[in-house]
Amino acid sequence: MTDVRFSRVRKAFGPVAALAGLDLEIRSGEFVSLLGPSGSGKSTTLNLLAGLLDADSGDITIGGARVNDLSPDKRDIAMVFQNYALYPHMTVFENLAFPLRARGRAFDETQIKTKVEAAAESLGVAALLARYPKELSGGQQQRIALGRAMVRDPKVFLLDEPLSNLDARLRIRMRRDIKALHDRIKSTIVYVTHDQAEALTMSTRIAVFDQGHLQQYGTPNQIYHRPANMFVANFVGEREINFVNGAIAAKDGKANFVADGLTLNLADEKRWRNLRAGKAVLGIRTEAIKATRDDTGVSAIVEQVELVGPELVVYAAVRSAQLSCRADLNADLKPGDKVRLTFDPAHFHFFEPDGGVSLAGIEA
Amino acid sequence: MRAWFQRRRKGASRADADAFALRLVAPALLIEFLFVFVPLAVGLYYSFHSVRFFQVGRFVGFDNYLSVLTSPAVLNSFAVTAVFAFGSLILTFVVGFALALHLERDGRVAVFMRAVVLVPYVISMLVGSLLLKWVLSQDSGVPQTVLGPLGIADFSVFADSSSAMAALIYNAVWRDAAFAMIMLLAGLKSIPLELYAAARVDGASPWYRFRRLTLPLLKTPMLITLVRLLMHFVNSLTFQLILTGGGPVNKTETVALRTFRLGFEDYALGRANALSFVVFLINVCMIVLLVKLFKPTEKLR
Repeated sequence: MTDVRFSRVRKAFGPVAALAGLDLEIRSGEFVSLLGPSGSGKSTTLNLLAGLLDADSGDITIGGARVNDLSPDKRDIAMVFQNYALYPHMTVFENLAFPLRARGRAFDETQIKTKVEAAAESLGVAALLARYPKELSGGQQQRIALGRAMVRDPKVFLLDEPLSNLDARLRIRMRRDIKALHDRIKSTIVYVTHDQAEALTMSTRIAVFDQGHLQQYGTPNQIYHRPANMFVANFVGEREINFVNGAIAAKDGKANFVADGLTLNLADEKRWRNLRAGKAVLGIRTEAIKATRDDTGVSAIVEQVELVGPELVVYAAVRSAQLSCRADLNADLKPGDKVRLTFDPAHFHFFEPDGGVSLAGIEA
Repeated sequence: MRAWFQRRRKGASRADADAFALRLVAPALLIEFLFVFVPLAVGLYYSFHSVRFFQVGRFVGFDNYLSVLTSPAVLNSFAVTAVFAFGSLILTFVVGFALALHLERDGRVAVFMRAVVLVPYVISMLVGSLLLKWVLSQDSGVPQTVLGPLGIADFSVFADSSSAMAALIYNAVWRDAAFAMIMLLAGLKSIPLELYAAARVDGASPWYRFRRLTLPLLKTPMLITLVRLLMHFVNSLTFQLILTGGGPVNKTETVALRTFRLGFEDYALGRANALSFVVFLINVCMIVLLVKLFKPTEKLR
């Protein structure tokens, strides 16, 4: 039982509420990402769990035991820091052995040697044990930092933006390595990131934060396909989501979304059952709108074209609104071209114009 | 540096590049030459000659050196200097280190207290020592107020050799602990806070963190602080000249004061310069010793 629970946890820095009443439950063995922009409260949450910060109120439990008043070393956690925090004056071996040696005489030197070598072996850094951190590449330092966290077999791993100092390619490879590591050791992992792609690819569940509030907590699938509000819809996804102001209206017994120059039929989906007529904001991702030279669809004028590898991303104007959409490479579109847009109703999201809360249930 | 030059100025020959580099450092070299090497050379020249009232006489070989090294007054001054310099060094370093650790966090109180600690350091040494002299004087000083009720009101700090030395060391610590604090504070600030956070999570106690993180990572700032303090205490003249005047009966007359008196009271410039060179060599030896002391575990820096 190494589940983690926050109940009504608050933390303020002076007049600024960094965390305004957090309720969060992480099950044993889960890989949970805390996702959000800077200042959203995600790092505060991690530091509270680590014991590096003290909560103003509320309870934090690890494995059922309240840990609010325990110092970091008594919480049986390990943490990996953004800049790795390797001890620069110690060799890799000494760095890895530090958590074992720091706790008095809990381990003798042969045990330490065995454990350090096992950790180094499993991360593929056994050849680097005699080196100093500054002699290592960023990726190697990253692995050592992971190894230092692993060597003690903690109940919970806390990772604070561990990949953000790596270059883009290495970051994508390390994502897979960390996921594989989690599959192997099956520990509870809490992972802080501002990179939505990292959160989507690695997590079993994602907690999205903004301005000290938990916005949504769910599986990557739920977060991506059923965002709870406009913030989540916009923050998750490779590029900004399109928002169109308009209204839901009934026509010929069918529900429609009507906006300036735009009338879209809603598919007969269960999630629209409780939708009422009235003002609404449509949220739709780039990949759910396709621009073609066909005769059907909403007319639009191309304003900008980007090549994104396998396809084009087209910014097209529909009256006053600009929508980003995708197009085939061979469509050969240029700014000024007239195109027709087709919308995929399965990827519609509707939000309240005030407050931005999702109008349909967020269950898949 | 030279590799960079050669890459940048492909057409230029190595000699051209060297000449250009020399032109860049020439002003600094000139100043160094005029104010360091010339006085040193003149001093060395004097130390091998008989000099009376600025009249350079005949060459006397090592006579000046022999004379000062066998003089009881000089030998006494070496002993006094050893007590003063090492006493002040250890106390100043410990107090400065404690202050640095205590005032490391940037709280409002800490920043204010740093300024307070700096006051003795920023006022002129002369003024500081004069102030202390008044504070400790027999007629109107603090000791009388404290010791009077105990019936020893006639005790004079500067008349007793131990208390005079203590006053001298106190003067040095009072002034230079601030210097040690600033140097060590700069070192402490350069240690990333994440290292301490990591060590806390790793289970290290405050003492373990201090021993395994702070001390090794402060090695270079500590070395610089110790060397500069040591040189300062060995060479400084103001404390002794103003506060105790070397008294009582030369019990606080350090080498610096002895040299000053040889040169500017006895006008024996040959011997004064010889003594200066002896002190210079001792200083060099002590620096080498300190650097060696700090080196062995420092494999990479």
